[in-house]
Amino acid sequence: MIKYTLQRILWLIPVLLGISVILFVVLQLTPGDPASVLLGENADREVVAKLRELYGLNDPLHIQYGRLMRNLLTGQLQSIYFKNSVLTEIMERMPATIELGLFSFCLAVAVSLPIGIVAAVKKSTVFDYAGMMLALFGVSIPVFFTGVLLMYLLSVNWHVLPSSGYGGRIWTWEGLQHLILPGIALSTVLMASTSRLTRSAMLEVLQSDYIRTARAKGLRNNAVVLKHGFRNALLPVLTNLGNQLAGLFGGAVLTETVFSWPGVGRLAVDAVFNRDHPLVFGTVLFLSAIYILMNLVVDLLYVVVDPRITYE
Amino acid sequence: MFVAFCLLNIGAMVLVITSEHPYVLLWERVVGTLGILAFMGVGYLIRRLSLTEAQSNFQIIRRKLLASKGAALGLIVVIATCYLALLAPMLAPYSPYALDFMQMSKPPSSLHWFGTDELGRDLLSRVIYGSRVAIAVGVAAVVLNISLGLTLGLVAGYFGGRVDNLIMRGIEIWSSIPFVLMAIAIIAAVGASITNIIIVVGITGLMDFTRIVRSAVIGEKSREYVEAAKALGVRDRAIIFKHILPNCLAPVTVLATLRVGSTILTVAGLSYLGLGAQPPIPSWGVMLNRGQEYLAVAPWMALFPGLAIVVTVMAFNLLGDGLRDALDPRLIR
Amino acid sequence: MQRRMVVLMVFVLMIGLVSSASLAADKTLTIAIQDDVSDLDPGFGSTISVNEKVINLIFDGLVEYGEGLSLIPGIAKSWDISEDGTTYTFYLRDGIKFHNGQTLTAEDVKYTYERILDPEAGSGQLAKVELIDSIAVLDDLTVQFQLQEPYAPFLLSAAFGVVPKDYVETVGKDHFARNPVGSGPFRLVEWKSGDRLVLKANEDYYLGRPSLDTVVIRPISEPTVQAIELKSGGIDVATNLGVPQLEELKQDSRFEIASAPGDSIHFVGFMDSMPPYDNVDLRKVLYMATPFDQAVPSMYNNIGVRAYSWISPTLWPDDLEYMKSHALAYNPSEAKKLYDQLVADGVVPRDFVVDVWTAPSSVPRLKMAEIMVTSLQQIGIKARTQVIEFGTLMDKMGAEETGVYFFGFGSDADPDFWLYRWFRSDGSLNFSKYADADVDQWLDAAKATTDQKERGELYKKVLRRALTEDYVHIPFAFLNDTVVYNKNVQGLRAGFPGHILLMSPIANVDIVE
Repeated sequence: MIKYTLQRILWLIPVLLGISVILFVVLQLTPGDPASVLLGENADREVVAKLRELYGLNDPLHIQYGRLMRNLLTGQLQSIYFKNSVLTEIMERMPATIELGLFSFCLAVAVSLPIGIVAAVKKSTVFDYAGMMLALFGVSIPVFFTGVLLMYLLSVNWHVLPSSGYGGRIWTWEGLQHLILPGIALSTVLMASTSRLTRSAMLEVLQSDYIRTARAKGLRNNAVVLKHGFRNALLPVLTNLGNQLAGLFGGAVLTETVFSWPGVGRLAVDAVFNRDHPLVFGTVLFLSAIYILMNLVVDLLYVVVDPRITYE
Repeated sequence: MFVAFCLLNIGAMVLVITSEHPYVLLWERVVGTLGILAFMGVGYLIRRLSLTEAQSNFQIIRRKLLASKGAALGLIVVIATCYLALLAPMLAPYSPYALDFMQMSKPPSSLHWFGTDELGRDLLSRVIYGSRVAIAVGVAAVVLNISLGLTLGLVAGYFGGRVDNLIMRGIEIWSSIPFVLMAIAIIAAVGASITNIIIVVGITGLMDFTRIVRSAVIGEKSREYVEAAKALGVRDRAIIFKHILPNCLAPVTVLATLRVGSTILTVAGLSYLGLGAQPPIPSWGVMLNRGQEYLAVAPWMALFPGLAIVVTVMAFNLLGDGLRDALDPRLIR
Repeated sequence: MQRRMVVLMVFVLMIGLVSSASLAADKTLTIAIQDDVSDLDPGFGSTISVNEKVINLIFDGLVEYGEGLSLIPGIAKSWDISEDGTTYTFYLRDGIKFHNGQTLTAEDVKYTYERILDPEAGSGQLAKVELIDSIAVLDDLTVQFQLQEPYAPFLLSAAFGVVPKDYVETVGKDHFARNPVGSGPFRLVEWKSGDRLVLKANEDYYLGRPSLDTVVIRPISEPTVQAIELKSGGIDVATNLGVPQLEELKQDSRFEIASAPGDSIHFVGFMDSMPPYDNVDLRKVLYMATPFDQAVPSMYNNIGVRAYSWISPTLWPDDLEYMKSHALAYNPSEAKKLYDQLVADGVVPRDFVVDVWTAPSSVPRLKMAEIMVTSLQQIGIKARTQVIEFGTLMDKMGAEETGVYFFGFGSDADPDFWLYRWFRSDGSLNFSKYADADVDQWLDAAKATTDQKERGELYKKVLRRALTEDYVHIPFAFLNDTVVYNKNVQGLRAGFPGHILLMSPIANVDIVE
């Protein structure tokens, strides 16, 4: 088990290396350079040329790549656009990203598991149809539209929640309030897919022989469902949740943009638009590393949930 | 029922050929006609298959699929959207491009059923035309996705060992990069056009298809009939295409249907970041993105394209769910 | 038990009272800007407009903008200009302090300009000051600029924020960009990347302490969200609203809209070096085919007006009458006829497609490009938009690949800043590669003359030649500078490009309940 974990962590190195190469190639293929973005619509071409030289953008490609990698490894990447250390910039924004990701994840789990279970147990009732319609709606609506609708409804019309921005750490009242809207927007898709999956997994289990046996033996319905059904239905649900959890951190770009959320995703988008190569490197590699580590954590959690799985 | 279907199609074809709207282009008539013929062909095929073997797999699947109201509804909406895309120029009351500075941001009326946008263009016509971009991008990107995923998955699963390792690791690296960022970077590099959007969406998110196909192949490979065929000296290619591929089709079909829906959403999301189809091409994502700015003053500008997206994506999801239930023998409803 | 409850309640009440009292005492103004601030160094970061706005709150220049964009004393209490227009002497106020307590002296002023002048530093402001020959510190409070040749608009460059020499030299450029120390009305106390900047009033400000205690600046890129935040009370001032949001807020009695002519222009440019766009008739076709007169009022509604000339309406020379009467009117049939003629003459290939390039950064400008393309399609000319994001567009323009481009420009209050770089054949912003010997000569002459009337006449000639004879650009919209704010904000004004004028010789914004 420990060996497996170590192997997986070691595996991070070639993966991140691969990503860095892909990134570098894509960035090189992208026209435009940070110098002209930095100077805006007023960009004087002589100054652009000067800045290109200053930032070493005229150097041979392998030297540029080598410099980026060296600075990355020594933690000295310096953002061209933000004039700041990439590490500082990421560290400053990381809490917002993680809070939003975890919050949406918990929200999705807290809402979708009960909906899925109720829908399965009360199959073909109003609960089932309503829950599933809602879930279907959730996976079918673009997140930016949900975001704007939520803002109009909850902050402009009802004045119950702040509409955008970051309010502080999650444990402060202000911070929590600011988390709710982006949290809902980000979790809709996960909420919807998880409740659908929970329902079908539960249905499958409920129709299996051992549940029927238990029922035949006279066990009360609720006990049967909770004790036997849920435990066994959990595994596919968990797999899905695990896959999606990793995506929540990197995939929150749209949500972060809509809600002016100071997360790493938005930083990365800005970095791409500004051609800020060091910042692109830092942010994308960071997001990818989180993605892979999350996947690892989920894989390890399977062992805890399902003793039949072992990793060699 | 088949006769009614044929009559409807013939009617549509007459409409395509004889429509006198001034902005119907020749290629639109040709493609429309061909498309309708293709639809009829599919209809005929389905009819023949249903008639011949009464208890074939196909029969069972069809019956199961149509037994679910949701799936049937999804199927109908998907087909209707396809017709909408084919017949857009004949159905749209106005040209989707016609500017009218006297009719800007007008609410729905008998003249403009869905109202007009900020350039005075008829929204109904734009929503109808928007189905073209949605279906074209959705289907094309998924086809690209499937062909790549299928190839990689087949090769990885069938040959196993080092090849398998190489492919799966490569894909793992590829899909560890957050999708939206990758898409932005690539589109910034190659420019936003419909073709480029298709390519970008089509080459990302390969993981699911590859994994499904790979595990299906590994499952099939150890079956006796494949080993027998191998022993008889049948070539790899023949084994893959004749024996293994057909067995992967069910999960791939399900995933593909669901994926078309999510692709439509993805493309809408890209539009929000300014990476959508080039204006003035009518696309739902771009229309919704622009419309949401007018939510407080002209809500219809966001409402109709938004509904179009939601309904279409929902339909693909319903159909996908239905197909999964119908194709998966384990789950009894 | 009960007693404990009472104690608790009293305690809670007290906290409530204390906090509400402190809230009332602290006047906080929250302003939304359109983008993340990236660099607060006045010498380097100020080419990006959001940076410039914040920089101007933290830093002061030798001169400041007064009413009607006149230049009035700032850090310099007065100045002399020599007869020949090459020597500028500034006399500084005594006792101005930087936020770190150091006193501002002539050395700091000298340093401020020398670091921009350093050719190795790569400052985007270089063009405005490169005619400086030498800077002399006459005494602690007197600084003298010697120019290589007379340069009329030099005084405008005296509005640059003055930086503290010792501090900048100690901490270095990049650190300074993130931890600015100026002498302006507000000092930076907190910068949460991507979230907010918090500024506090400068207690020692030479004009007196600003009425506001705290200024919070939040980057909110979506205009829709800025409007929503304004309505839900998250911000007090919105600076980046589009047409629909203004439409929406106009009807809301809780808010006030201030709007004044701004400092930027949107225009269509043609590549003079790229056939067939080097043909004046083709440019005229595109001009006549597009209904600029109808489209601009609706696309720019309350954020801009139809432009006929290239220089902002707040500037001289005023030649509106002539330019307007020589603008081409919308005439699709004439355009079609001329185009067919061009095709027949072989100037334009038969299957030619007009590619119209622009960036998505400005929504109305993008819509104008869309309108041009649609209008061309409607008269049977093949056309399509090429919307690419800004970084790529700049690259393509530099490589002369963009035959028709919709672009924007903004600058300070002197025509030279606007015209020299864009229309001079070797101008650094002459993307169109426009080359006309007369225009070059007129531009040079105007630069060297200090007489405003004479300069005005020369600029008129330049504009008439380039825009109404050669049609190298089609200017179509001047943007307004618009802010929307809560009614309880007092004294906020628009029309000072690059500034959110919270505290200056002519403003002191306050919040009144």
